[in-house]
Formats: sequence, structure tokens, C-alpha cells
Amino acid sequence: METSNILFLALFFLLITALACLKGPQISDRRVQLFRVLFPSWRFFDVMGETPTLYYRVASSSEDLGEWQAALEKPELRSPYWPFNIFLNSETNFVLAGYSLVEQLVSDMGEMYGEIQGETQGVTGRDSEELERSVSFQLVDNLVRFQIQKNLQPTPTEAKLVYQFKVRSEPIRKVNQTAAWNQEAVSIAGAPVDILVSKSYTHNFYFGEPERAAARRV
Amino acid sequence: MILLAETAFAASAKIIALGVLFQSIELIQLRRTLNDTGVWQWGVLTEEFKIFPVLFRAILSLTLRYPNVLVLLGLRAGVGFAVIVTPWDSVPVLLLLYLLLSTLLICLRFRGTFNGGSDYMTVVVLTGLTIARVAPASIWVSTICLWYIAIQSVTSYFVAGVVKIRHREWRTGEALACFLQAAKYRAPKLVRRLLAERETSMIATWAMLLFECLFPLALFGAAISPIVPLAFIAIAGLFHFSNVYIFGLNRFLFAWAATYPAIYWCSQLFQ
Repeated sequence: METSNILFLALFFLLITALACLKGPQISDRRVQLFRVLFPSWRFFDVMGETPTLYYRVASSSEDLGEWQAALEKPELRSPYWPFNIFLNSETNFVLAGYSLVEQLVSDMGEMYGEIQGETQGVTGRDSEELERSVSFQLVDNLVRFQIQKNLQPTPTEAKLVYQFKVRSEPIRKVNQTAAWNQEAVSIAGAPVDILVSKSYTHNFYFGEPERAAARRV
Repeated sequence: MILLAETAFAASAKIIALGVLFQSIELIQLRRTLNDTGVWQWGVLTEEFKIFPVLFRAILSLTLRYPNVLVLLGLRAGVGFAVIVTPWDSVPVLLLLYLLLSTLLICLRFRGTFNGGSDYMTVVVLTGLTIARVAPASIWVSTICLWYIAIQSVTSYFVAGVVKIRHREWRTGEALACFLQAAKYRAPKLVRRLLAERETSMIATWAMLLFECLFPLALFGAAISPIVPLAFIAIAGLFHFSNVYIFGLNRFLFAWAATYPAIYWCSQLFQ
């Protein structure tokens, strides 16, 4: 290999370093977003920001809506079988795709309302309708209903239930490292903030075979 | 050990085809999330596709609506299997083109990507392989395609390292600990316990940062010794293997492993 070629490659990586240090512009055009797989970004895990996390609560009536519960939880690793996950790991990949949906919703809300500072509960009137009509909101709504249906299975019945969901921004900036690693050892900088609390929705849930549920809906 | 371009392409094609086969099976396993009562309901998604011309929307509807998308995925798995069992010099370009286009369509079905980085790299590898297969006799095309795949792969590690090392939280080992306990990636208890101490967390972080930032040596390192590229590739394999265990990122393993033959082939130019 000639010295000039080595120099050329060294310059190439120098340029890559410079570009990696620059914060690129956020392109919000939907066409570009939809085809973003053609413009790879390799900036993995660079943001020590906040994780938008989805919660829901469900009950038979809106008065009974109780504790919030996490909608997306990474499945526990089943130790003896984990090597199988190298090939097929659909449950975890579904959870990660679910998080992407929530992140997209938060990003869309940022575009709709400007920088999201705090709770968006009570977005009223036209604003609320615009958000509810957005694809991101509808997909997250679908995700919540799908998870409720999944988590309340296997009772083979149907029920009219009231549900509500919220997106909570959870800062993960600071971790107090101690010898005993557990949830209590984690001190989060700043309190979690609810950036969206939905209205209560009523929905007919069908618990049982998905094909039968679809047929009943028709 | 001398790796021929043909062998590099063959190895790359078989690894990515295996990855695509498993990706397709995973999505078939998740078919309930794609139907009309699932999460990614076609009726909702079509709103977003209104920006496209009518003909393109018709193609999307034909291929991506439920249950048609299952046919696309089933065929994708079948084509992936066919590429695995067919010798590289007999693989019809149409099979590779199908894998590439179906990957792009599936990414559209998930509004850009289903699994982020692994989709990016799958498209990079399939693009390189498809173009190489279009002009199999051209040494120039083969060289450009292998360099394209290798540079994207090396850059991916390098950029990932550079963007992390700029942050104090990464340099102190704090960031790794944060990601390990974040609900999105929650690591197995064993790993969290191992990295509970600041020292172990810092050592693991710096091992990763040095590996990522020095990864260009997987190309240049051959000038020092032919072992250097092989060592980096072996470490990279272990890195992705541990990511499957810790974060469940199985798709990254196949997508990146498919780039290693190209990296090794390119590194030979520096020997």
C-alpha cells in the first residue's frame, strides 16, 4: 500500500471525526423520514437524554382508573434458552419498536407545540384534535390497546373498558454507583415529567383468538 | 490467508441472507401487530403515505397491507434461504434485488425502520451485493462494492466511539451504567451486578470506547500484522454477541457480521 493511499484514508477518518462532532440538522420532512434507512446514522447511544416511557391504566369505568403501569417491558432473559435469542428475539424487538413509536410521537409533539417543557395534559380544542388525528398518536393508542389486550389475556371474553395512557419523560442522567446495584441505588437527576396524558377512552376489548375478535368487529 | 473477492461476496451474501431469513420469521411471529386490530394498522399508516404518487401508493397497498405483507415476508424468508444454499456465482441478481426492495418496503411499513441500525446495515450490505451481482465480471464494480460495505462498517464503529467519547458521562463509565438499567434496554441482573462498581463500569466502558475508536485499524492494521484485522473482527463478533445477551440486539449481529468479509478483503491491500 502506498503512503499516499494511507494518507488519504487517514484524512477520510479525520473528516468523519469532524462530521461526527458536528450536530447535524434535524430533517423533519416526512418523505426523508420514511426513507431514512437510505441515509444511515451511526451515532448509537450518544444522547444521555431522557427516555419517553409509555404507561397506561385500565378499568371498567373512568372512576375506577387506578395505578399506572408500564406498557412496554423488555422480556426477562430466560437463562438456559438465551442463545436461541441470537436467531429469533421477536418479543424484545417488538418492545424496541414500541419505544420508537413513542419517541416518534414525542418528536411530532415537539414539532406541533414547540419544545415540550412539561405536561401536555389538557391540550384542548383544536390542538388536542390535531394531536389525536396524527398517525403517531393513533399508533401509540393502538399499541396501548394491543398491550392491554395482551396483558389481560387469557380470559376468553369481551368487555367494554375505559383506558388512559401517558408518556412520561424519564431522565437517566445520573446513576449513583454503589456496591449493591438495585433500583434504590439509582438517583435520577430531576423528577420524571408527564409530557402527555391522554383523555380516557372507552373501547370494546375482545379477549380470545385475534381472528374471532376481528370477525366480531366486522 | 488470502481472501478472494468472490469468496468475500459469497460469505457476505450467506450471512446477510441468514439475517434476513431470521428477520422475516420474527416479523411473521409478530403478525398480530400488523393486522387490522394490531399496532401498525394499515388504515392508519396510509394517512402518512398520501404524500406519495398514486401509483407508488398502489404498490405499497398491494405489498404491505395485511395480510399481503405476510406473503412479502414469507417470500423474503424463502429468497433468503435460496441465497444461502445457492453458490454466489449462480445467485440470480433478482433474488438479491428482491431482498433489498422488500427490506426497503418493510422499513416503510414501520415508518422508516423497524430496528434502526440493523436495518441501515442490512440495506448497505444488500446494496453492495446487488450492484456487485449486476456486473460480476467487472473488477472495478466488485472493488467499489466491497469498499463501500467495508467503509460503512468501519465508520459505524468509529463514529459510535467518537460521539460517545466526547461526553463526560461516557468517559466516567456512568453512561453505560445508565443504559444498562434503563427500562428500554434493561440488562440481565448478572451484568448489572458485574458492572455495579464504578471501576468495573469504567473498565468495560473504556474497553468498548477504545475498541470502537480504534476500529479503523481493522483496515490499516494489516500494515502492522495480518493478525490485526482478524483480531478486530473477532472482538467485534464478541461485542455483538454480548449485545445480544445484554440488550437483546440480535439483528445487529448478522447485519454487521455480513460486513466482515469485505473488511478483511479490503485490509489485504495494506499488507
